[in-house]
Amino acid sequence: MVYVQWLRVRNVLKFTGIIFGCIFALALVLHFALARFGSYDAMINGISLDPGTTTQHVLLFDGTKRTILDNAKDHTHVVIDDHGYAGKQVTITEPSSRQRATHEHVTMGSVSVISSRNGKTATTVIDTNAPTDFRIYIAFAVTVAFILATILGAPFARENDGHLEIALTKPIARVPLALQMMAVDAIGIIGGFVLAIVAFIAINTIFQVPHIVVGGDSLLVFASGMVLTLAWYACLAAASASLRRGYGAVLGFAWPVALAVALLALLPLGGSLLGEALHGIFRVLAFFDPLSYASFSAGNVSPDTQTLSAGATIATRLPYTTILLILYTALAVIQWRRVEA
Amino acid sequence: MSTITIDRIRKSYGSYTAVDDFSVEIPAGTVFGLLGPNGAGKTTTFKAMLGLIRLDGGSVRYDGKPLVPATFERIAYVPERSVLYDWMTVTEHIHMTRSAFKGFVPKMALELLTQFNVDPRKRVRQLSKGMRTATMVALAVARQADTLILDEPTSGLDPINQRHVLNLMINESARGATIVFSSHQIGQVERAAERIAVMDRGKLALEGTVDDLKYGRKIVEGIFPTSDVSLEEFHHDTRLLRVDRDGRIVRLLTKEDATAFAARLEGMGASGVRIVDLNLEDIFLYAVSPALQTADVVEGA
Repeated sequence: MVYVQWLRVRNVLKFTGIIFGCIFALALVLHFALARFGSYDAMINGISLDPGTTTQHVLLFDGTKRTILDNAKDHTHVVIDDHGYAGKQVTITEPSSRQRATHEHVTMGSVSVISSRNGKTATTVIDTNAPTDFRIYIAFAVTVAFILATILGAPFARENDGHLEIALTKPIARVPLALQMMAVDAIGIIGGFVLAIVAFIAINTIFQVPHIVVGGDSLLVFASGMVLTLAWYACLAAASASLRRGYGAVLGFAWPVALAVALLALLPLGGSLLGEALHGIFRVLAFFDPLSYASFSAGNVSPDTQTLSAGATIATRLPYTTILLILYTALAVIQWRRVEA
Repeated sequence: MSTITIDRIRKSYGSYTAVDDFSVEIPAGTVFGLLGPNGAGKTTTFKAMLGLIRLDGGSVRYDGKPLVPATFERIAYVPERSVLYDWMTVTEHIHMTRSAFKGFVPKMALELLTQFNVDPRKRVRQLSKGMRTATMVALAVARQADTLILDEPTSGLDPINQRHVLNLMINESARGATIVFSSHQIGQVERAAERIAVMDRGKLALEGTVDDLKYGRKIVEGIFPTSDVSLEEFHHDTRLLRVDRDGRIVRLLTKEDATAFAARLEGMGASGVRIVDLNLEDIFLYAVSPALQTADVVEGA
């Protein structure tokens, strides 16, 4: 009954897969092309090749391969602990030209770099197995899924645009047909969501096997991300369900409008009566705007910036987005029930 | 097989009335031609028959029962314009139809497409208008439905494929299917249809079997020396269906006594009097009179 929807979903996922494949290939090329220039391995190789450097290999009791590089002339001391699949930890101690004490911590994926200076000594600790919060992957996947939801977001308008005679002469009532169509798109969006997580991890792995930490609320965040994306899809479907043409404009303007509502609901619009009134309107509108719920903060939101939609935690926002999903689905189906060929 | 009962259907779009109190009964197993000029309401009637529009009044019944989703298992529809998906291949349309209808025979669809010279591997956007129509007809016929509703099924087709579609309709009828179709090609309707209805401005103008409509109807035509000859004596003659005057030419449409009317015209001074048998085109044109008002027209004279 919904063969056309399956084809659309297949095409969208195929296209998404091709894009991820290209990014993966590009990352691979970058990895091999740039690895020898800027990586810590290159730096360590440089130190080890210095004639004044002594190298010592030690196998620790837990299986860790420790390599110690020491260059007395340059006052440089490097300790490399190779934990195998669990990554490497490199500690570099070297002279510092700056006297001021500093401490910096930079994290990129699973690579954590802590630099500290104290007196004339600088210490850099590179950990290639730093924990990566799974929520980062979910945030990325939600972004991708939102794009897919936007592409698939006008299932009924696409049928209205010259194909109703096919859609509405099938031996199935309109409501179950509409729900089946939306269900197929939902499967596609969830598929894209999962595909994005897998692709992100794969691309990350090219540079370093990520040490993903799945927190206690990861499942909740995962569910919240999916429901949020589906609510966005249903919102677009409802906005376009009775259109024959021009649904492209709805899909195109949906993002800027939804983002504007979400932002204006958060930002104070001045102390004037008009500003207060507008702020109030946008706060109410934000309640119906799925993008307003796009936050993975598990903590509390300040009452000053809290909107109706941006409830305190993901746990409290999830029911809101679920209600929106049901509401927009119902609105879309009710409208499509009444469409005439 | 389904007997289709269209009972006093009405449909307006704003102030425009597309179909107005239209009723007709289509017996099971017949080939029924729906004729009418552009904008007569034929397509709206088809859409009403399929529940694609909400009616302002009236009803459509299949074997006495209202249309329900399951009824579509027995009805195949070919709209007047292509509703195929441009981005899909013809083969994918076959898969789509197979996934929706139990009775669909993909092999038959492929055979028909071959006969129409349609390459199933092509995307619809690569097909000509005629090929799209042919594809829709092939998909509909291969469903082996009880009822085929075809809105301009020969539109855009070359004469060979037009004949092929007509033959398909006749074959389907021989199988027992009820066929309802519209066409502007009256010759095709005359060839294929057993019954016709003529619609004009949303209303039923004429309905019956082709044989009944043609039987006994003749035009008696004569040329008078002047264009001011009085036709008063014909206006109340119940044997006449219509009296037309086009300049010096007078035409009488009669169901009986054509020879007597010819003699009367000769007696009034007309020359070149002749009796012409009506074909379906004449019947159609007389039914949709406003387009013919080139002279005095006295309907139901």
